[in-house]
Amino acid sequence: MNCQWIQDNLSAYMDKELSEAKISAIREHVRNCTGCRTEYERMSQAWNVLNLWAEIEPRPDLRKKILHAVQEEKSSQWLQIMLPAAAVLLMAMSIYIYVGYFHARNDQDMAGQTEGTAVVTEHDLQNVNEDEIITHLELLRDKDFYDTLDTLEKIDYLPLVEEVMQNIEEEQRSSLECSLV
Amino acid sequence: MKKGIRIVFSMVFLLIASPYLQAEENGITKNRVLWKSMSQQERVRIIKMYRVWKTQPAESRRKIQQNYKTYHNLSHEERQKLKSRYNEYKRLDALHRKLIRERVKKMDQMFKDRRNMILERYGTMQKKPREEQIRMIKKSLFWKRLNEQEREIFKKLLFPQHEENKLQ
Repeated sequence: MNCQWIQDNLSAYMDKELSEAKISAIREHVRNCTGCRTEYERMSQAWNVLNLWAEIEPRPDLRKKILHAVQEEKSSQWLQIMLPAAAVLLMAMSIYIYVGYFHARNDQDMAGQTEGTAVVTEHDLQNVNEDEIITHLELLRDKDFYDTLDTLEKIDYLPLVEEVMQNIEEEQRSSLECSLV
Repeated sequence: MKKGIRIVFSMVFLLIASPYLQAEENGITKNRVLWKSMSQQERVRIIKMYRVWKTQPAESRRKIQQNYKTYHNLSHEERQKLKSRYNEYKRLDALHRKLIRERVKKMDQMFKDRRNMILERYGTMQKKPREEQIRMIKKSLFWKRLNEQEREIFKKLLFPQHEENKLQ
């Protein structure tokens, strides 16, 4: 039990937090050691000054305010976690949608191409209704052609459209002039 | 008596329907042979096409099927003409293809009587010799309003390769 230990435990000694044996040991040491006694007296003085302070009663709503502040802190922490998580989720969804769209476009482009450059996979040959494909095989072979056929047919009529439109306009104009006269 | 009439009707029905059913069955058999003889790459292409077709709206699918039937009812010359036109159309860039579709769409949106008038005039024009038809197109308002680039495009679409010199 040296001076260092005594000085470390002086605060606990003054608060009577130590066992009876330790208290009597410290008391005995302080009586005989000048350094430790000086430290003890300094601390006692400070203790006495503290005791002069009037005890302040906390405001009745203090507990409520502290709890509220803690809750706010908690909710802001929750936001701090959730906002980045939501941003990451949104980004992941955007990427998923973009990739899905790109994939669908790619599929269409591939289908539109006459030269098949696709890698043959077993998966491609499975899970399809082969009978339906066979029934519509000729159509599927030239799907893009049949898709545009009506447009291609109507190209023949285009040279006549503006002519007819102009004739109709002229007829309308002349009939309007007649009615005005 | 009733039974006899029923049998006669059934026989007549079968007599009329059987060639169609047979033709359809023959078509499927032919397609099946074709499918089996295709390379894997070609099959994958068809499957991809099928998947695209299946995801299209019912209306678009109906239109394609209708176009398919229309095409098979055309004469050999008409088919050739449309095939070569399609090859030219395919080579066009997206913008020009869109412009053509827009022009056609404009015609589709016209009143029925105006559309009928166009069809009627087209019928009349078709009766004339080809040289005369080309001359009429060249003199048309439509042709005059086209710019150089559009003219080049429509030249290829309206007049097959061998007719090009007639335009000079």
